[in-house]
Amino acid sequence: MKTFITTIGVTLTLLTMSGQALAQGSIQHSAQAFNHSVQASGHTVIAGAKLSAGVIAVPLLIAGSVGAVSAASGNALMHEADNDFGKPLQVSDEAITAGPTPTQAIYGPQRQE
Amino acid sequence: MKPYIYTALALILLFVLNGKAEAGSMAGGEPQFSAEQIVSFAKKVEKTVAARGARVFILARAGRPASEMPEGFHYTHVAFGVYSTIKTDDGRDIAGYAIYNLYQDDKQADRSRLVQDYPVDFFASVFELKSGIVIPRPELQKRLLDVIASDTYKKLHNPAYSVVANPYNNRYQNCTEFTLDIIQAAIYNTADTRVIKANNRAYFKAQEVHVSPLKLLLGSITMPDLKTGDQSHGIRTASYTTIAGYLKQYDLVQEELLVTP
Repeated sequence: MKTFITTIGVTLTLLTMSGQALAQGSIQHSAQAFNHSVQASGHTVIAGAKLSAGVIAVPLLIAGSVGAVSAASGNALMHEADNDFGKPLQVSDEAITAGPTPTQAIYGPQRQE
Repeated sequence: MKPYIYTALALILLFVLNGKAEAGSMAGGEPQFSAEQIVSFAKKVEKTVAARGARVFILARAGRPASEMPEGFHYTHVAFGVYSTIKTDDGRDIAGYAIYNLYQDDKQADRSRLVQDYPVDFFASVFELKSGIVIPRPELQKRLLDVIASDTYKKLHNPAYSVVANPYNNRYQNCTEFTLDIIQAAIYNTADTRVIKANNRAYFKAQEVHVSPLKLLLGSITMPDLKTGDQSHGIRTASYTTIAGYLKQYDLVQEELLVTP
């Protein structure tokens, strides 16, 4: 019986460690849960930052290959990003989060995928 | 004979237990910090890199306690931050950073997908408020922007996921290998995976993962995202530390930072 218990102990340790040690954790974090908790709190300003959902993000390209796209949505910002790399960049004080999943956007947060 | 029976019984029992433990890590995790802490930290990261004029940077997060990571690993996920015009849901354009990720699929652990989100999402469920950051030199930033905005970015995604994917071949890919492949595409101005892998083998020193063969065997049985068919002579994978080391070795880093609250 002692051997059995010892075997369980050793194997449990190995299995637990194998699962934990090798999991890199690149799973998408639960932004929805985060958003829901924020919404439930009734606050749209968190830590002094207005919380907004980002609909689309367009890189401010330096090379100009997609510059026309950027220019359409932010001429001044693009000009800033185009120039001196050592110059600090402007960042909004707003906190942007990704929106809900497409399914949840249409059917609401209760809908399971 | 008895010890074999005991071992078999123990293994069956513990496979079941391990399945539950794995499911716990697959859930993506409940937030460990308050919304205020996450927002403050995410904004600090943004402002830190913006103050240095970063158009593109590489960032890492710690999704698990350091004590649970293999030797040599300090972070669990790596992605790109890109300075962007962000259109909000109420129609305004604001300046900030978008994050470009390869995320493991939360419903099918051996698959991945490309997801663009924002710093608050990126740090939403971390176990520790810290971020390793590499700001590449301006010329590399320009090239990275070109790749990220092009079809090459999606083309280089291999959805077959392994948590310890070997960066020297293209059989499986994880977030760090994808990050490395995009960097190589930018450096060598190529979308050819063969060229990218050849340069990975020639210049990039992967992180060795020190795991006992028994642990590896048991893990590969119980974890669908742990595949070793692409490995030979031990287990090697890309990590934040080895990517940062690679860029530093070839003088491609403007600045490396550790951001904490």
